[in-house]
Amino acid sequence: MKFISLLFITSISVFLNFSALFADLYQGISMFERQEKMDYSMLVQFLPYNPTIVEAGAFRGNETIQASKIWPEGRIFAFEPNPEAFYQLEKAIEEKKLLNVQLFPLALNNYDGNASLYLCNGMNGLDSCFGYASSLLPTLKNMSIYCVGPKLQVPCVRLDNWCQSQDIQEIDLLKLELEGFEMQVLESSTSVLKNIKIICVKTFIHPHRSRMTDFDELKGFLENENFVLIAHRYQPGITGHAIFLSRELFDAYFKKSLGIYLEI
Amino acid sequence: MTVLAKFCRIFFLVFIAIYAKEINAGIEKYFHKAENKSGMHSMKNIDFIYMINLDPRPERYERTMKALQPYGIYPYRFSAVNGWKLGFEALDELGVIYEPWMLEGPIGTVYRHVNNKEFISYEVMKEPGIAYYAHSLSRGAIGCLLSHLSILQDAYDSGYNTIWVMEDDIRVVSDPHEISFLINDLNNLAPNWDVFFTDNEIKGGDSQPVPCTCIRPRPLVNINPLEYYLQRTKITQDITKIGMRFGSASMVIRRSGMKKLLDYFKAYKIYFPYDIDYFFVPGINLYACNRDIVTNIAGGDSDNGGPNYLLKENN
Repeated sequence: MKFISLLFITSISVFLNFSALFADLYQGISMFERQEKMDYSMLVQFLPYNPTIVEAGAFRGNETIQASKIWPEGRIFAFEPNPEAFYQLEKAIEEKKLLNVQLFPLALNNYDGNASLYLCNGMNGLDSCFGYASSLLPTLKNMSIYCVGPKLQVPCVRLDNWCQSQDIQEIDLLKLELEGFEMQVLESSTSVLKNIKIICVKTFIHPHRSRMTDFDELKGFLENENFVLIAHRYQPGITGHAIFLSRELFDAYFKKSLGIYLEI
Repeated sequence: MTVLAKFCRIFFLVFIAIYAKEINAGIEKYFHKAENKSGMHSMKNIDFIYMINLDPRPERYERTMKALQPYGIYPYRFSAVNGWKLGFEALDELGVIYEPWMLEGPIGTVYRHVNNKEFISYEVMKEPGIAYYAHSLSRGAIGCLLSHLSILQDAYDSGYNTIWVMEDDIRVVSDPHEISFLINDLNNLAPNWDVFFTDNEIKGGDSQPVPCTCIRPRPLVNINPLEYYLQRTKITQDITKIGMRFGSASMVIRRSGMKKLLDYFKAYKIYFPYDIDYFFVPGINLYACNRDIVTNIAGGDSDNGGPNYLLKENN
């Protein structure tokens, strides 16, 4: 009996420790801490009815569809270089007849041309549902067993150049899910960065690819570029999502609208 | 000063007066008239009692009348301005119109209309000619404020000295005739009073008072530091002079208060909900009862956040 009780207590404590390890942590402004989902619905309060949204790493379009529905008068530009995912994305947008979405089978990069895309098809290399974890960065040797898949050549573009070609002067919302390549994209497109209101990024606390964007480094870079981190929810050692507001938008919302003077 | 300079100065002043009247003309256009008033809606020290009630909410009117009937108090039913039915043109005129000389402002709410469809847009206040409202200000809240202003205009034009304005979600806690005696006290002890709230604070959903402890910047208006509005001075056991509070469920307003409120909103337009704005009115003297005589129903259903009366109609 004693042994069973001991086993039970041990299991509970192991479970609790395990849960704590994967519990979400939060960094940012307390008013958003209770926000269950850091998705587009949270950003409505900062945006006009017709925002220009650029979503890179759209994968199969779950969030593209959400954005299109929230802002039917907005313009949504979705990038996805993985051909299989792009096919699914295109199909989903067509089926739902979302006329305000434009799709681009491109990767955002720090140059125009072609680049290698390291597809992630899970541990067995066959499961395309893990394709969201594909990246322009190769996986580290010790992590390569988790992300098995072919290397593809995909067309890529620099954000600044693409904006120029599309005659886009301002981006209301830039969403990046580039599996660690975010910093390279942002650093190479500082012209458009001056005219972005909100940046949402997937963050990585533990590098599993070479030259992967480190969150603290990204935060420092964006702060230098006049952005303010308002919310970052993450699982320690794994990944998270962060939202940065341009200083202008931050001041307009918190200082001038709510009268809250936050020290960030 | 030469004759020409004098003429130019007069011309300039007349031009400013006409221009100011022109830009302010919008707001009164949307006031409702008080129809078919009779003489039975008064009580001691109060010339007229108004109750704001939306047409599709007769049950609220009945509830409030039932609550007041035992005291022989019969408010005049004022048909509220239904903000949810205001046209696009109204929303384009009632808000704070941004002009090029103004500083780039906060993120406000803009009611955009495209192909006869309305979109609520949150935009930094910087586009000349566009009407901006405070962030998330709903149509319902605009209608509520217009209802209060309509009443103030009617009361002022009717020559009333003191009115009692209530919304249709009030709760009668004790004999409302006490208010008449408290008005006597106010007249004696605080002869410059403008507004008297018949309760201590607004009540939240948990029935607890919800004190107002922060202020938000208001375009065009020079507001005082927070400390100014936080001031409270007890006048008697029952009355406190206050700097600010929430709620507009039950307010006694004197002629001086009517004028100050009307002048303020005509000059500065609609931006905040009524109860986040009335305490910014320059020189307004607000008083509140230290206990609840007539207060709001805690957690009462409201049509300010959405046209909830439609749910009732659909059921």
